[in-house]
Amino acid sequence: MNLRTEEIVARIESALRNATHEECELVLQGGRTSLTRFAEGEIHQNVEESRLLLRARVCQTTWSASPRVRMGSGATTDLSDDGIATALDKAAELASFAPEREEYPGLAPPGAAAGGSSVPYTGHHDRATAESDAGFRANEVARAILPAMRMGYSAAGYYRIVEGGFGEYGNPQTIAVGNSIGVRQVYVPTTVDMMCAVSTPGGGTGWAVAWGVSREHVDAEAVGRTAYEKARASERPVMLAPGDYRVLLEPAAVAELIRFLIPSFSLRAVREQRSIFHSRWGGRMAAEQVHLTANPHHELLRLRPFDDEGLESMTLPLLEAGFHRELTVGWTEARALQRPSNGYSPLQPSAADAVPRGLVLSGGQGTVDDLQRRHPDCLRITRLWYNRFVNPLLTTVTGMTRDGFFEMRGADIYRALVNMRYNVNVFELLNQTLDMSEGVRMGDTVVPALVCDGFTLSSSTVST
Amino acid sequence: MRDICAAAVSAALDFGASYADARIVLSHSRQLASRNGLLAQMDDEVTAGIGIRVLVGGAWGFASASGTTVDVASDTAWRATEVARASALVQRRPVSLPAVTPVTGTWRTPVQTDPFSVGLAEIVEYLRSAESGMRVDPRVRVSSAMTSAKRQNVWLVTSEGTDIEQEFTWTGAGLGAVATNGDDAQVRSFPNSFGGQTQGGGWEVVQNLNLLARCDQVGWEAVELLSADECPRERTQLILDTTQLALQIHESIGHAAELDRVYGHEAAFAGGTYLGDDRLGTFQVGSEHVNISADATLEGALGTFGWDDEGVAAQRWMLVEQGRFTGYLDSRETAARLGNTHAAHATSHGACRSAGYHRLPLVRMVNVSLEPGNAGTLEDLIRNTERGIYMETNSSWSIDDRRYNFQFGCERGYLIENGVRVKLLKNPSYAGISPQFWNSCDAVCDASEFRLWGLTNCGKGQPAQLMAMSHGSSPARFRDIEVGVSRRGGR
Repeated sequence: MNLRTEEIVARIESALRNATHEECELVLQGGRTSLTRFAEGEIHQNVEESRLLLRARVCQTTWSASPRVRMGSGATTDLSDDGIATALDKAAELASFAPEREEYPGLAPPGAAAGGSSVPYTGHHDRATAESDAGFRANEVARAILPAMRMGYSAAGYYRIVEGGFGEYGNPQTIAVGNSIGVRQVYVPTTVDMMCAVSTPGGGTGWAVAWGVSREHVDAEAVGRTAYEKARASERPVMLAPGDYRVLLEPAAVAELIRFLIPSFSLRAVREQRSIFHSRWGGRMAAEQVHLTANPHHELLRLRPFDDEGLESMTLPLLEAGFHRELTVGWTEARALQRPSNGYSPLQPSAADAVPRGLVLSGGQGTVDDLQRRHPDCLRITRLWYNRFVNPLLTTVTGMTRDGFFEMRGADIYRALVNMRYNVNVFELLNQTLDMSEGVRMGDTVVPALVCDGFTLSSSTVST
Repeated sequence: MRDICAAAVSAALDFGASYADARIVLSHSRQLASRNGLLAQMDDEVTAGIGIRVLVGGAWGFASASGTTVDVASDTAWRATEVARASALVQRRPVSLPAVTPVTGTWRTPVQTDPFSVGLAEIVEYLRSAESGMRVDPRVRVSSAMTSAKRQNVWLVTSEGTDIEQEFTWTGAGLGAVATNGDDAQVRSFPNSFGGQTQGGGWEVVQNLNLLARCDQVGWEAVELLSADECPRERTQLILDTTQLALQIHESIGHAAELDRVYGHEAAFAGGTYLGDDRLGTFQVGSEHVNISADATLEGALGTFGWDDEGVAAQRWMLVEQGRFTGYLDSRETAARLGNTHAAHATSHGACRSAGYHRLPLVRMVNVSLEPGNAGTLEDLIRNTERGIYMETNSSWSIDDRRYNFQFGCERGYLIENGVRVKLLKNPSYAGISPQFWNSCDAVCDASEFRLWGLTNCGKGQPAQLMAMSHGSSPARFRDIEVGVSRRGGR
């Protein structure tokens, strides 16, 4: 597979030129994933996957007193001229059976996002990273597991390189958009991440992760060493009584929690009373030092800078000094409300909401250790696991601590704790935030470590 | 396609593999959804590609690519062997697969009406009618109806001589309504949450659901929940309907019985299990009422096939018998390893599956079900319950990385007093520890209440892959369970 930007552009240009449908859009998704997985100190799964999916959308407009539009979409992995033509024809066939929509404004024109311009053919791509082979990944794995192996501990995790875009469960994500009225956007990023979990015979488990846009950003040795040290410190954990506690949430835990805020910032969710902002629009939602931004352009992220219709995604303040500010909206809904889009449209047609991408939580300073020294006595949580909404409207969430849960005294680990279930309201948590560190990249977010009060730990995992 | 798979296997052997298998998967899916009067989804997707798995020097490699030409197959085979060579750089235990008798044959999902033969106009009208039928009150802010159909044609050829072809057809539909009053939002789904019901079969699956007859009720049920009482916080008897039991089985028994978890393969992600191999055959995971089967032969289920993605024939076996833990979900590699300590379990039961051509086969659930008991019907069970809570339709689920500590939420519940449902409850939830919970089971309804529910969003692996399977059960009762756990922060 070749993911060179120029060739993607040429393929889309050619397909649009050959298209027999007046209003159409082509969205290219996916790319390549190389992932080396290890467990018990050896590589047990090792994959290189190539997957490009082309989505074709056709709109059929009838002009009477007002325009009425039908639309459908077809997708294919056959990127030949015939394959793309077939997908367009399938989209047209589906469109012909769709009911007419009165409010649909048609395809998004270039530069239709508020304050934005359609910047063609942008991209961030690290060639050395993309061309790294399985041997490179194996060496990185060997470096990461060395501290654990020397002690006879077990190490598990992965080293991954992605060229292109994939979602949490491997669903291809948009890397290029072109349409028949001039939108042309291509963005083929590289992303690297490594995760390592170490477990000891004494019942200790530790975990660490690192993310970057090139392989230089991921220090495999440091990831392995951090996981190893946490595992050693986690041995012989003791039970803690359920209760509300002051906690230091490390960045991985914060990233897990703030993603549950994402649906609340959809304008459609607010209009349908499914978001807390229906009743608290513009209200105070978090402590004064908390700023939350949708910023896919952030230098640590460099996510796709445009939405699934090819409109540039604006940098949006979602919470400013703790107060609610903006909501996200896509082209279709924005036009219906006679307001500008801010570039967060999902694929069309879609039942999904327009929601923020590239969350950046800021307002803190110093490292995680600096933060710990400022708040020496608290519980410290490395990571949260199997986190799920309990109530989406209220942003209440449950899940478990995992792989490094400690009681801290005098900024040092006093004792390891048995993992516990938590139940929290994420906005209330931000409202009870006392302090934060500087942000680091965690997945598609930039988040700090955070100290807050009132973190509800509801039950322990007891042995049976 | 069979010949291209064979060419890929041959190429892999030429490149130095000691074992190779090649799978070509052609997939056609169609999803349509109506939401608030608009056709919100109208998608048709066709994909085709090949995935090749090899052993070189006792180390695994896997590569996949879109396309089904001989050139693609050969290039992918080469990449797979290169990946395997790199795996061998960090290896402690060379993998050796036990010899098997090669299989050949074909298998396909029984289908009455091809879902792709149904006219789009008919489907669109059906969806719009069902969806609009839920808008029975202005407080129903969101109404949605969806259907999906998927057909997968899979060819598998291995270097051991296995050569099989399978055709899977899955069809589903569902309704969802969200009612709000400004302060609260309540969801009601039919016949199940998170997409409704999906089964192996054709358009008859949708017809049997009869959405048009239920849509107004779904809307009213969502509205009624707005004024219902919150679920009380107490320890009490809990009766679960079959939709919620499906997920309870999935999370606290099914995943726990995956053998790759025992060997740490998922230690950094999905986690381990409380069902370690030292507990096989001895551990009392549940009460005597708890019998749990794994069955890849169930008609109409999503984890049903002729052979798994290693060519092991579909079969039925017991994971739990009268509460005792008796078996694992396994693959050829993991079963062989278990055989070193448990000789009777050395052969795979056939639970190694992949989400598509692009993904490596992993140990995954087939259809895992709680066998019917002798407690009569659901109404009998409620009539025989002095006080308790009945819950149905999952809304929230979470469990720890050893599959021990869980918390579930449901769409609605009822307070039961003196054998009668006396009050509708909203936001019902419960929590527990898996073996304690299953050991508290004191009644399972009979076979007349047995229902099979498709689950299409089971995530596992890195890269993560979503897999589908079904879970069956009759309603069941559990003693002394903590309910209302999500109230006031859950303490």
